[in-house]
Amino acid sequence: MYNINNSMPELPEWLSLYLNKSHDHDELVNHSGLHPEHWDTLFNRLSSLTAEDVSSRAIEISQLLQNGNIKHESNHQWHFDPLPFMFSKQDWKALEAGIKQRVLLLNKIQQDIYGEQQLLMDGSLSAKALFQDKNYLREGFSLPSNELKLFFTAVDVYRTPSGEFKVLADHCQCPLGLGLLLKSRVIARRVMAEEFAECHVQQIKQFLATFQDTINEYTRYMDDPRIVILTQGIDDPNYNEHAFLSTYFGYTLVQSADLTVRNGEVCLKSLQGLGKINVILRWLPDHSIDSLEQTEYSLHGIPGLLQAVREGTVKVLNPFGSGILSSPTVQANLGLLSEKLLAQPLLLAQAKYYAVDEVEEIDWSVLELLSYQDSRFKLDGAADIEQIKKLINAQPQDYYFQDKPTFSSAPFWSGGQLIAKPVVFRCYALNTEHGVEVLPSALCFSNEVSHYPSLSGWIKDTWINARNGDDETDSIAAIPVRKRMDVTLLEGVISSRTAEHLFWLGRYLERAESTVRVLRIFIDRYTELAIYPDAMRRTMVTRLFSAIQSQHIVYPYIEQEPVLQTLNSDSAKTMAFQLLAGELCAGSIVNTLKYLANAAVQIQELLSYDSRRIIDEINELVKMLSTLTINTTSRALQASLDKVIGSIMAFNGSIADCMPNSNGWFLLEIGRRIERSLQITSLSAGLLTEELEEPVEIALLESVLTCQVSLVTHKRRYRMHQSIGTGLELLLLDAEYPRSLLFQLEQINTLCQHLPTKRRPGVIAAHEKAIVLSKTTCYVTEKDYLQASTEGKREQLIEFNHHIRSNLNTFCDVLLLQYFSHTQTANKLNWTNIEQAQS
Amino acid sequence: MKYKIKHTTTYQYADFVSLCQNQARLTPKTNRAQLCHSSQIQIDPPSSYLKEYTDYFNNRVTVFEITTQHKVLAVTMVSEVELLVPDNIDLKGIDMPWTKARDILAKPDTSELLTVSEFILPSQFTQLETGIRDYALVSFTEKANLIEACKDLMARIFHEFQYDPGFTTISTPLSVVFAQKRGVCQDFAHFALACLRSIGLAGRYVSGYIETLPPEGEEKLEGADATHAWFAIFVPGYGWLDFDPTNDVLPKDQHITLAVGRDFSDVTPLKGVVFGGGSQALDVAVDMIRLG
Repeated sequence: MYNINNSMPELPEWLSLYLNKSHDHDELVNHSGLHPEHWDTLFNRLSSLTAEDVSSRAIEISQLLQNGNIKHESNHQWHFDPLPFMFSKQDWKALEAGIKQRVLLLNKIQQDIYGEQQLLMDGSLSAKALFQDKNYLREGFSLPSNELKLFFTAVDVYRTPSGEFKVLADHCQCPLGLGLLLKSRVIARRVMAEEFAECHVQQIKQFLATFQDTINEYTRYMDDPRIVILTQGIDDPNYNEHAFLSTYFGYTLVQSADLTVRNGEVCLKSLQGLGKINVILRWLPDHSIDSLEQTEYSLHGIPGLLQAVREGTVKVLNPFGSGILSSPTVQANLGLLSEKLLAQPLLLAQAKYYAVDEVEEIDWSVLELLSYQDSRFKLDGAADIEQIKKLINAQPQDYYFQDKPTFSSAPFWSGGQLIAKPVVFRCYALNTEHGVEVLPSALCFSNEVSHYPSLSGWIKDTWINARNGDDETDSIAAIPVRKRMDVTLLEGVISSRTAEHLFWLGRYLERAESTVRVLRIFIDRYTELAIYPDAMRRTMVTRLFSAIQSQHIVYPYIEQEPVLQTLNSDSAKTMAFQLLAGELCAGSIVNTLKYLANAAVQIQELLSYDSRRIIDEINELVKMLSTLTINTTSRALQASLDKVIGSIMAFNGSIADCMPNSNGWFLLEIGRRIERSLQITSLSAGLLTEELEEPVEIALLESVLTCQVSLVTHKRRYRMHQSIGTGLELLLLDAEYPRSLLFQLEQINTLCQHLPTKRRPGVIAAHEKAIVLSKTTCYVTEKDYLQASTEGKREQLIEFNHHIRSNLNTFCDVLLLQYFSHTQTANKLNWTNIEQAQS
Repeated sequence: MKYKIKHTTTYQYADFVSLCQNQARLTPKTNRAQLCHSSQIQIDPPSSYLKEYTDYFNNRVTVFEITTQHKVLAVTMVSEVELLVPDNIDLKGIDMPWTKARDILAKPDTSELLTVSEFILPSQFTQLETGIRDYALVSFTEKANLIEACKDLMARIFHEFQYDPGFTTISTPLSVVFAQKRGVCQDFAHFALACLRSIGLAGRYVSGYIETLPPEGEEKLEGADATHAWFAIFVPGYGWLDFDPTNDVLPKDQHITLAVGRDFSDVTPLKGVVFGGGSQALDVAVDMIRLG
């Protein structure tokens, strides 16, 4: 029972309700101890809050949590609780000591398994079980022994009814959740700033600094060390976390295809060419990490990686082969191994392992059946009796029994009240040269579906009290002084893949914006036509309609003689709907937004928090657009268009301050300018090449100018002398006007300087030639020349546009080939096999 | 007996290959039965990177990389190997009931036995199929001598299985080989290993070369020799003893060992990853010349 301190104010109802309920064994009710000081301070603070206050905090948190993430279907979704978890000092001390011992032990076991194998010789580990374990990686034996040291591990613990902690699992390969913990801490500090300060919560910064320092140790003697985080990509359920860590630590986020091994060194395919990588923080399992050397072929493997590790040119963390430590083969014997290797009893107990013939069927109800081969396999001893019987009769040696874990519960805020949920604490540790360091917090989480170990469900920030200061001084003294390298001096490296996504992001942004403007002007002019149905207007709107319908002035900007199409209310409606929300229309706004969001997810580690929020909004917009139907009113369409353009503008604003030359941002700018150049040429080609009656021509010109946000400028500049010629001059030939074609080309030309080139000074590259050629054409062309027509056609304008277009295409092709050619994937060579050899 | 071996593997691609990364297990072993005097790898186009390491099973692995654009890749290993005259061990003198060997292996108490015990376990290509154990027990009767029983097993495979080069590929499961009683040397070796392992004995896969003799009166053709595969059984107190079920012989002076492992996947002579290339055609030629 939670002991209420006399000096405390009265507890609010929402809290006392929970405390007075009966629980199996609850952290707050049963495990808070006789003097629950660690909770008192918090409750003191919270006592003034009503249930509504807590709910509003919960909502704030969920918004903050969502905002930081770009949602992606495969990503885990989390609920983050407004009530933190408090560890008492005694509890934490015991836990910390237990974790330290455990990491030391696991590291020793790892060294022995991939080394002398004394533990197999003396029977401490079953050789037979180990040899059959798929986490026992024989490739590990040819690697230098210092490449096998554990680095970063996590251990899941839970509390038993008697109050002690037991270990549920070790994570020695890719310990998930650190990013999540960081994120939840950031939010907790924001939402619960006062409580946080008053509770004297231990900081986690030091641990993260040590994390980076330990990595820096490996690169101490290098001039320009490159450290990357290796992820499977956006399909990985934990991609958000990888991206978050990449941003947090400032390490480049890469996928397997971004890396290649040359001459025994791992290289990043970057814009600058191949750049050597020194440290890889892998978030990929090790059994298929090298598709050349390992038998298990994976698309995510990097051929030759192990040879690079063998040569010592790259450090892979966590080390290769560490998966074996989480295997039941090792886990079942940890108690004995601790006695043997550390001459100490194991501090943190764990559920016992029983061979299938060790237990009677009567006792199954408190046990679960697990498999040596498949870590995800689990059967309940009470519910799955028949299945268990069948399995253990067939292959008893493949399975073992283990006590069902008896999780304690903790209060979670749900639906306006506190409810009890079973909790597990994931604690993190670093194995450094100076000993094991434990993160002074934990990921306190609850899996509703108990779909362990996939991380999803409810989490709490976990606070460890640092009051009295005694321990604090201790821990500070224990940290040796280290030199920190100034990482800010290093230029960010971006992979070719990231570069390409940036380029496309720029193009989609511009494309979405322009398509909205085209559709807007059409809806506007069409509505006008309904009110004033004169012949001049009809001709003009029909031409506008036809140019959109045949995709001349929207993506893919088809270059063709304009053909007039029938305009009526049905065809107009269909076209407007298709262009906005049609999934089958290549250049529809909804499709462009989808591509845009996808490109943004791929580079999310480069985006600021605010930019990511806007991408989230865009995802919402896409959903909203798919609910539209052909019968949606034009007012509703206009409203959707406003929303789209609002988001695009907001996104552009959020990235406006990113320096164009760092992290490859200039590629986004190039993409944007290319797309805009294509639009300008396609608009003038699609609407202005035919000589028509003057009022129609001018009306079309005004539409074009409106699409390019240049109507006002044109009016003010040319006043009485407005003509197709002046319009073309402003839109195509004016080098000073920011919306003109020539201005875009000038910008592209300047931005190209950021592209690395291997040419000697004085010689320009193929893509630049294309731009210079276009530029020159613009400079030497006169507006009257473009306006002139023969037999009603402006052949020279057509020719001009075509020339610019083909140069722009050349530019894009060269860019793709020279800088983005990362997409080539590895093919497996047919293995020479005996049969082929003999035939 | 001394041999010079020339083993050439040629890949032809439909398109250009921009990068090719390989691992080869083509260096003959030096052990108590043979001495590898020299080995020289030639790669065309030349490799830009070439290193060697020793793998888990003590095989020499050559790692190389080709960054020159190419449509044809030829890897040639030329080596000179001396087969040591068997020290006339009287195999009949090894009086070891197979059950005793099994019991010794079940409780490995030396580091050698510990290493060997790995070869009792089923592996990727030697999964224990139903019926295999029964097939093995026909040769390994209760009181049978280990070596005699193994000879009997080899002879049965030789007589009951049909050598049929077109029938299997590397992905043909053992159950098909067993049911159809057809295959090539590799399948026979895998099958024999599955038999041995099913009754608790240690067996390993051996890849290498076998000398072929032309029919009487005909000249030997170039490239006519072959890569070959057989198996070895562990005899406590003696060591590994080779058996060739494809030819029903105990390898003596015509078999040269390249690499050993649990099965084919551990000893793949040449494997690689290419970027580009499209469809590929593979050709292998082996020459084994007696040097006297």
